[in-house]
Amino acid sequence: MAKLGFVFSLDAMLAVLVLMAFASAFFLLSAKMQKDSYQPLVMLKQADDALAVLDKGGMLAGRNASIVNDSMKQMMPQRIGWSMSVQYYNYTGRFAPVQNYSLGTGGGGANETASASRVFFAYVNSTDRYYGLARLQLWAR
Amino acid sequence: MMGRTLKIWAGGARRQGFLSVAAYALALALLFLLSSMSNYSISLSETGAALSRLEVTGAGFDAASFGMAQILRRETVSPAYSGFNLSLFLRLPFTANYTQDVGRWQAFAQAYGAPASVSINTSEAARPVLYVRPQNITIEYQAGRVLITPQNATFSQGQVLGYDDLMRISQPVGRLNWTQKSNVSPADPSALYFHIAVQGTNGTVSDTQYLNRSALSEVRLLDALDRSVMTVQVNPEAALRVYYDTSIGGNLTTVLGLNSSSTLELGTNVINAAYEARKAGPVKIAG
Repeated sequence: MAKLGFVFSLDAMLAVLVLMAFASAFFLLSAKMQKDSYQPLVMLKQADDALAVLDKGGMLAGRNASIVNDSMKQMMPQRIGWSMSVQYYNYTGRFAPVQNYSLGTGGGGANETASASRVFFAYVNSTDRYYGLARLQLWAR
Repeated sequence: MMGRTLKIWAGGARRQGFLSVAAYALALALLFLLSSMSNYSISLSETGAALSRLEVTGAGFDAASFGMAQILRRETVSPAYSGFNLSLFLRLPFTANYTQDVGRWQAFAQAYGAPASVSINTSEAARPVLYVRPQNITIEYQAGRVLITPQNATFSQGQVLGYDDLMRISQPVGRLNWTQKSNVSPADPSALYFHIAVQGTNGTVSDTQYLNRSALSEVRLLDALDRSVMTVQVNPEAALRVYYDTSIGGNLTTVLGLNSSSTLELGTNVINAAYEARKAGPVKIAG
């Protein structure tokens, strides 16, 4: 009878061990399947910072695509691909588009991309003022 | 024999019971641990999304506030620093372009500023309130008046060494008339340096005084017909009040002399930013 009790107890402990092994395998596989949220967040911050630099440095207000292109090439590391579009509006009873340009390369096929946009105000003189929208997309090469 | 059997049986049953209870307790502990791990994993997986929303909201606020600062600087008040002195250049008359551009900037930022929801309080922005930090001095620009007020009577006013009011107007100037003057010696602890100069189409009038920062002093600029064009007051404690005729064209530079470094902030109630809870997919860039 004692031996039978010992066997039952051993059976229970083995069951617990099997359950622990199963749970460990489950969590390990779940962790591997989860997407990495750190890299896209870093790229989002990079995109926001790049647009802020272009706005506060006056490059976007200058409406010169080559200057914006050169600035982006200096700011972005080689391992990051980027694509940008900038649109300018003026106000004539409503916001009317006056200029737009696109820079960088296409990002089709990239697994993880980060996108940021920024509105900005460009003051030329007391009669010429523009309202702009810049969109930037980043991806890891 | 029977007793001995019973003893052996009882011993085996106790051991079995103990082991079973231990196994059940271990299983319960394991289930509790799994539950805690599950809750923690869920909260961790949501952290990235929450940080992303914070970043987007912060970027939206920064864009709207920088646009506001540009409108303010270009069309109303331009600040400049020289050592510890803060110089504020105001274009006269207080232009209607400023209010108009603030309204348009608000409409544009709200329409195109997604995914962050940005709103600009145009009534607050129409009469900009600036804060000098950390001295805690408030500067209010309203139509026809400039009000500089140290907020803390014991600390802020002590940071103000003096004021310079430099005005250029597009009409002839007459004379300065002191209606009330509380002079003190320059070495007096309550002395406040005060300089006023007005350049008109026919010349310049100016005066320099050391006034009591805890008493009222008032000087008026009179035109050729002895009509008051501008009134400048030094109120307790070291507060400056400038009242001018709103039809005057020109500019007004107010130099705030401080005894430590400062930064200038736009009023705190002008801009609000929040993140709209909506799905944001990858942005297709036209190219």
